[in-house]
Amino acid sequence: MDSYKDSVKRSIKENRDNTQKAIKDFFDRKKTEEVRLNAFKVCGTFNRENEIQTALEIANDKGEKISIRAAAMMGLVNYAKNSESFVEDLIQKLGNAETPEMLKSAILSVLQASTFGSAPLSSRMPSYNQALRSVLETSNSEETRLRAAEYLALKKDEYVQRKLMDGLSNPEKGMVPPEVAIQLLSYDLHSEVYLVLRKIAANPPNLRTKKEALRNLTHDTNPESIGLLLKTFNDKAENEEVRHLCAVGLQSLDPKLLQESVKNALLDKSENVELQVALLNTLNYSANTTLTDEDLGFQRKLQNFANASKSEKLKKTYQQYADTKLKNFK
Amino acid sequence: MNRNTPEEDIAGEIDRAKASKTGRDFLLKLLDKSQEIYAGRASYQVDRIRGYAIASFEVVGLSELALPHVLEELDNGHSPYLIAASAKALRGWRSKDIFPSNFLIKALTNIGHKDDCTSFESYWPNAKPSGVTTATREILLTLQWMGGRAKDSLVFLKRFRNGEIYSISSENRQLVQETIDKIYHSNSFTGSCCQVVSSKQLPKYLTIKSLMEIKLQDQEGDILRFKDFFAGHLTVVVFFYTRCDNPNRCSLTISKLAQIQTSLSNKGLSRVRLAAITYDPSYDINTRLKEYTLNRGLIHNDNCKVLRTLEHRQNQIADFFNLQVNYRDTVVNHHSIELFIINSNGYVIQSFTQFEINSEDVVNAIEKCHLNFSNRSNYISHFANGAISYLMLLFPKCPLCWATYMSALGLSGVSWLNYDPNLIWVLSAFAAINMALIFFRLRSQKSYALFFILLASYLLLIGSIVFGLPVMWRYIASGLIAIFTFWYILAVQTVWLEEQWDKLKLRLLNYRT
Repeated sequence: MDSYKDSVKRSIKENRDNTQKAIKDFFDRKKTEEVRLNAFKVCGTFNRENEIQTALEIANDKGEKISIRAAAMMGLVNYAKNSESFVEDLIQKLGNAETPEMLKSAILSVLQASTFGSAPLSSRMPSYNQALRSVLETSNSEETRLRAAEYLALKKDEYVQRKLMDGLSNPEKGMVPPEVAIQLLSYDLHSEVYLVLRKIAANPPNLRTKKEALRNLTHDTNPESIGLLLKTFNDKAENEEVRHLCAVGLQSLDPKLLQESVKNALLDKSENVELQVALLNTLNYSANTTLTDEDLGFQRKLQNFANASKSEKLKKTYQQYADTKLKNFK
Repeated sequence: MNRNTPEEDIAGEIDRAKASKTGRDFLLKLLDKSQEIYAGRASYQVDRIRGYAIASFEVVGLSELALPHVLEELDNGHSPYLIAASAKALRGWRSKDIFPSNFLIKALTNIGHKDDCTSFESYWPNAKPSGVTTATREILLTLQWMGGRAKDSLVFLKRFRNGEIYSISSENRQLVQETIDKIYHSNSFTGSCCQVVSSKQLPKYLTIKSLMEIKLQDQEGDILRFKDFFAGHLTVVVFFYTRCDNPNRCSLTISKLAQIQTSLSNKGLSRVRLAAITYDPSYDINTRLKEYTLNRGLIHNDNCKVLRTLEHRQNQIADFFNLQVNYRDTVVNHHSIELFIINSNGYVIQSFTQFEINSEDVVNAIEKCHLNFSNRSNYISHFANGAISYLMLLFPKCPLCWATYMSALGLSGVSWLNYDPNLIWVLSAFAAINMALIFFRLRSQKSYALFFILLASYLLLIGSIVFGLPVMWRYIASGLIAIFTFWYILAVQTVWLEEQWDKLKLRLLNYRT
């Protein structure tokens, strides 16, 4: 036991020494950028007062390399939880168009990490939101704009919702890709994006966007959306992933409407096998456990169809379905 | 203006109304959430339009009719834009009577760390607006404007300054201190607080028959008709939906309904029916309704149901209750807090809307309704009480009574009747029964003065006969019984009379507006 304790103590001391060395290396301006950045990976966050002061000097030193400044900033996450002046400074830098992009990205990381548990940031939420909006307008980095848009979308911010909707209606104004815009708008049910989504689903710029539009329409109880999902599912020329997505959505929106179409698809010899396998799995989780004459007929047909199929995957999936589903019939 | 009017046109009209300073009527119309102009719009558009209109009242002047809408946003709104606009609008109040400052304090508590930068210099949200403000700032400026009239907010403001409510920035701390100083050094307010009442108009009295056949589904999935649950019962009904993202509205409303349920049960009024109807019947299927309301403490039983309309009849329900709700597609884009008390005939007799429901007030209103003559059996017992008292006045208590009756009925008709002094015991028995009925009736109101007066009068009457006091005492006692019996009937009926008068006043106000 003593040797175990000693080895743990040694290990802790070693780690502490390594961290101290790494911090010393990171702060050493004579070392190369690569060495300093590698050292930073071991540093962790800066907690001692002298370390914090040094890191602040580096972060604010315009003569220092941007990557080193950004790294120093990232190391001050704990400091941001308690220092009102530091948080204020970060927010100002974030909203300033002249702040280098890499530094902006680091500031964004520090502030987002401080969202929980930082009283100074909580009390400055209005100015932080304003800085995020400014990033949307002024940042040259798509990644930074995307992050800012996501943080605002999570807060159901009106400004970002309007910008995203504009981008969907007029692609040339889009500040993020359309499939991402749809995802961000879906954070707020009341953003009322469904009308636009129906138009996009009917005329999408690409497959990813179409999938995203249909995926979000599966939350809309409007009969037009339900009709579009059903129509898409029944379209054999449609991508099988898209069709399956529609089936899954309809399963929660209107299971009765879906049942007939799924049964027809399962018994159709010309239907895509991968889709049939996916649909069998979907049926497996259906809530309908009442055995009717009509259903008995379907079950027999399905059994014959699966047995006659050349696809082993389909046979196996059918067997799982039969084991789970048929034994639950009353 | 309608659902298709572009936002820029609406904003233009608001700007013109603000500039002309006579556009109050137009702005007032925009406060009604059920307006056609809000149908089919996203929630952020509705908030933007209403907020921009509300803020304009600072310039054109805030009227009594607009005040409840403004206070509603402070009481239970969660949009920083609308709260800031409402705080600004209050500074347009010109009347000598003042609204209570607790609405502003509540708004400060509600906004918490959800505050945001905003501007009212232009309609459109901007990444770098001019004239930036926040909801917290506007609330504090309004408290400063109130000056001495906001002295009851000082305790809260000191705690707020010290970060005891939630953490605040140094700029806000400074502003709070300025507010405290200004209020502290202002003269105390000696005027009166204006009565803040909901702006809710009485619902239109549609044919009950058409509404009663509407099919509903309850939380268990059972199908019933409107009249199956509402007809013949005193009912409390609230409106809500499970996708509401404002915790101060729908979620709290259901919790309050659960509190009301408990209070009614404790008071022996568990037969009063409770209903929660969803604004969103297409999404709020029965399983969702059940889980949502169970999680908030509501107990489902034959007298308490959570309902959704079937067969797309939601509009009829909305019309009947004049609901303050609007939709984009099938999703609610804006709504108010709404609770109604319906009598056994299906008419709305009282409503609690716009402001956070006070469950005690609702229970008191139900108790009052319960005593009302809308219940026939109560009416009959009240009538019987009064009738017995008057019959006893006519009861023959002395030879003179018999002589009077003989004269009235004809000597040949009743000449065989003799006066019997033992009839005094029959009189006493009737008196005892009557006093017992009156006692039990007044006990529920905890008001015994009338009972004791009547008791004394009866004792005087009986005593004057038994002890052979001069006849004058019998006349005095009979007169007292007559007067106070009439007073008793009037007192119980007054509740009903008051309600009818209130309804008439509201109808007159509606015609005027």
